Amino acid sequence: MGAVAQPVERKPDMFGQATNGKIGMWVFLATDGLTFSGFLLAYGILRARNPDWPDPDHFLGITLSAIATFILICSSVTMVLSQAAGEEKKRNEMLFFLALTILGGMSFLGIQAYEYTHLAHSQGMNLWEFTKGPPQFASTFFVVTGFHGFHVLSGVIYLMTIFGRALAGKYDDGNVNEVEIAGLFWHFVDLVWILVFTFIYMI
Amino acid sequence: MQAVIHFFKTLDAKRKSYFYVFFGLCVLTVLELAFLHLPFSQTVITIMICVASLAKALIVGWVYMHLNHETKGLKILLLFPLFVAFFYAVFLITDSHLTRTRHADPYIGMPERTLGPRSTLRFAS
Repeated sequence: MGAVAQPVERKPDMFGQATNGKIGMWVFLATDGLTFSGFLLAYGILRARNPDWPDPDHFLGITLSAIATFILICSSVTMVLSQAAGEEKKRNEMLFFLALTILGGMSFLGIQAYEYTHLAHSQGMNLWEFTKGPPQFASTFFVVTGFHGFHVLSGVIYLMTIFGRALAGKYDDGNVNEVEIAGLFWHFVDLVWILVFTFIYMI
Repeated sequence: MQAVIHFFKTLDAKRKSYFYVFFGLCVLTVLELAFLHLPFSQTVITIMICVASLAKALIVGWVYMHLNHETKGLKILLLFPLFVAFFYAVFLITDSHLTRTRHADPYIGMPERTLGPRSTLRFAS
């Protein structure tokens, strides 16, 4: 008889109480952060090398994107409040805040869709060309904000799944690990937007 | 206003800290927008805005993503990609500089005033 297979034991104090799923999400977010840093670096290099780079303020609406930033920050608050309610086994409160978070994400996507349409029609911007300046200005803008928008869309779908599971009573025992992992992703989307807003719109 | 203060008093310490952070983030965002109108040079304003937004990103990570409750092991795990990103930046920026001086830019070394036609050459539709 061979030795009985033992479950792999983790060093107890390396990651503390963090579950495997949570560590996995953190590792994913680290790699995702590297992708964003690659995009932002490429943007920075293209911009630094181009003397004709326009002032973003002249073409992109800072006010609208500041509102979008505010909405994302609000949705981050509702996300942590939802998790806190789940930990205290307050199902209705958790569902309420989760719904607000999803609504925030959808509003952000709506603002982005409006912004893209506006930029395409009145500023002549699309992924390949820009009628009022270097095409790289439009390309980097759409690649970086589009990649982020895709994350928001994924996040909204992810949170809807979590909402469905919460509605079915999966987290009624106060074990909100899955909500927390989804929350990590959502806060990361917020965090990245804070940086994108600064580098693409404000500077 | 009274109702808001009353609501705030009913919150526990954890929720209070979430709201403090929320107000902090809002204030920093408004400050960033205000920085744009300060009578300083572009470089100073850029640095101020960058510092404010990095502070915002760190606060979100620290409080909302609960990094303040995580172990040293997890924080070290997350610091590693930052080193990768740092070298990534160093190599990409160096590379862009080298390719520019060697091949890509036929106008390199020419006086500044000749930069005009170069832009029309590049971006003429």
